Amino acid sequence: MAYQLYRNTTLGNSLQESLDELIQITPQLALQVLLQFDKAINTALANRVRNRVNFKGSLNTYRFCDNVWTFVLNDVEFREVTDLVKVDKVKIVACDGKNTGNTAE
Amino acid sequence: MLSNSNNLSKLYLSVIEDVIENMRELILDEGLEDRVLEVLKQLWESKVMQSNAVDGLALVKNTINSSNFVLQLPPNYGQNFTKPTASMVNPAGQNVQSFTTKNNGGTLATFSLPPGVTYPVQIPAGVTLQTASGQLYKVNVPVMVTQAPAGQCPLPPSQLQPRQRVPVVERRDLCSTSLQPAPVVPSTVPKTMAPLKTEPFTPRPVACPNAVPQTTEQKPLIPLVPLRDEKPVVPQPAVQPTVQGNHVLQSEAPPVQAPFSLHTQMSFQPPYQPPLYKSESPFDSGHFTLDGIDFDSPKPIDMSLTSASTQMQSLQVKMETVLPDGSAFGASKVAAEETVRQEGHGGTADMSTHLEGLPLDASKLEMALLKDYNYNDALADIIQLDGPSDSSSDVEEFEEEMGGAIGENDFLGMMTAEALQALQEAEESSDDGKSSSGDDSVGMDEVTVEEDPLNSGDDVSEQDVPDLFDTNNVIVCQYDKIHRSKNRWKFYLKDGVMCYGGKDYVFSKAVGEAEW
Repeated sequence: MAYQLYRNTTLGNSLQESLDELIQITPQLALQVLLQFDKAINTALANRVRNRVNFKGSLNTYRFCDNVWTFVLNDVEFREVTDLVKVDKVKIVACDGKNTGNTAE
Repeated sequence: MLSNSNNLSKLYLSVIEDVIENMRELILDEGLEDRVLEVLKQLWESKVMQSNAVDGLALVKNTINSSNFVLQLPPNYGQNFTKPTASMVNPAGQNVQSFTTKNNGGTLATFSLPPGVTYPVQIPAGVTLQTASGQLYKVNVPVMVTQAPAGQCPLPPSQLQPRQRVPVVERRDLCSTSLQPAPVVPSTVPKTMAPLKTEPFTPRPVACPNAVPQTTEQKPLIPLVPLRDEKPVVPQPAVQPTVQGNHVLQSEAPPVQAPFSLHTQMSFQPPYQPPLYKSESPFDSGHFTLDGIDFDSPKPIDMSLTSASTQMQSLQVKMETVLPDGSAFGASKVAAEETVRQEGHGGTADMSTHLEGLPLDASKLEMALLKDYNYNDALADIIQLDGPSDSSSDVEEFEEEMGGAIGENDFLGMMTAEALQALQEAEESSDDGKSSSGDDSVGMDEVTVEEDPLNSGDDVSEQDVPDLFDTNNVIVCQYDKIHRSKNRWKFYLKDGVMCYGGKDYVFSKAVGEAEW
């Protein structure tokens, strides 16, 4: 079982919206689709992505609940090899990466 | 940046492909068709593109998928193909070449349109077109596919009449939705004909796509228009795809002409005259029903022995209405019926003796009801349990048992006293021993008004919390290690999808520092 964490992304949200729009797809089937999406995105991120990002900012809040970290950072700079992006506020939701056997959302 | 967006587009597309492919078997197991999957894929991709989170997604997509046409030609098509080939040279010479070369291989030919302008395209008769998704379209007459300017809806209804020969485009697959010109998938090359588009199944009004390939004269879209028009008329049958599909097939069997389509359209209209005033027929016959109670025509009710049975029956009916929830009374009613039948013309005195065997409450009720007959009019057969209008003492007693008006008033008085006490306890002021509730309520208001400014200074940070967590810049990832030293935090993250500044990014590893 893969993390359902990635459902709240552009890709995940657009998939959920599409599933909601299609009436032929039953809710059970839609759930299956989302589970497939979870697997696919987890695999893709683990295998197909190879880049590194650094960031720096100030921590506004932190929360650790059910093995999920949630941070809110302010005035953050994201630095990749090529470019730099600054944002005022960013929320980071992170699940435990050591053991991916749990399904968390 | 460009390379990253390219990589991201490829990643997203590969994820979409994986999901769709993995779902194919499950979808077929459900009994749905491939089209559903294709529609889902189109919707998904369009939404991702619309979000502008990924630059150049459309571009990447088009380079990957350059052909949406798969042409299935009849076995002996090579001979017939030479003639129409010539006609196709002028409008789209490049296409013809791809046509012929690939036709030699067999019945399946891939019709690949170059990214440039390809319209108008003339497709000869007898050609079966199959899209990549597997839909088959057979064109019986030569069709010219042109590209309409943006925003123009295909096939204004006025074009129906001048056409004489209408080609029939049959859908080989038994799938549901009809040949409605669907919204074009916002790819840069709208290559397919309108009926070949995979459209969403929901019977929404078809939006005018940006560039709908509009067929000009002898068009297969004619059967589509009436179906489109039927949508507002029959929304309900359209929801059921199979029903609609059957209708589509039926309408297509004969050569579709405008009048025929109108006939089919009319046949779909729901029946327009609902039956009216069914319930009023009893009125005509002089016997009316009121709340399920059958009332005989008004006649004076006398307590003579001969009509006692009738009275008991009506009495039982009233018992049902008066106390519908009393199962005990229902039992008493049954018992009363039995006594009536046994006694035949038993008088009221006999009835009262038999009523003694019933529960006390039932007997009291029946006595009260019997006495009501003496007082009330013939027409006022309904016993009024509440209200001060009843004059008989027994009825008053009965009302008291039922918690009549007097009891209710007393109850209300008690309530106000209790509320008063509650208010008195809540207040801190000492002069609250007033009896009138109005003054107290005014006093309460004053106190609350004073307290609000006092409490307004508390909990300032409450408002920040909901807004704080409501942001569009989100990173979803997994953490390897989170480290804190005093107020310095270090984050070691991996496999994340980021969205900030309206754009999407991904990383395999992220390291960050922040001070709290």
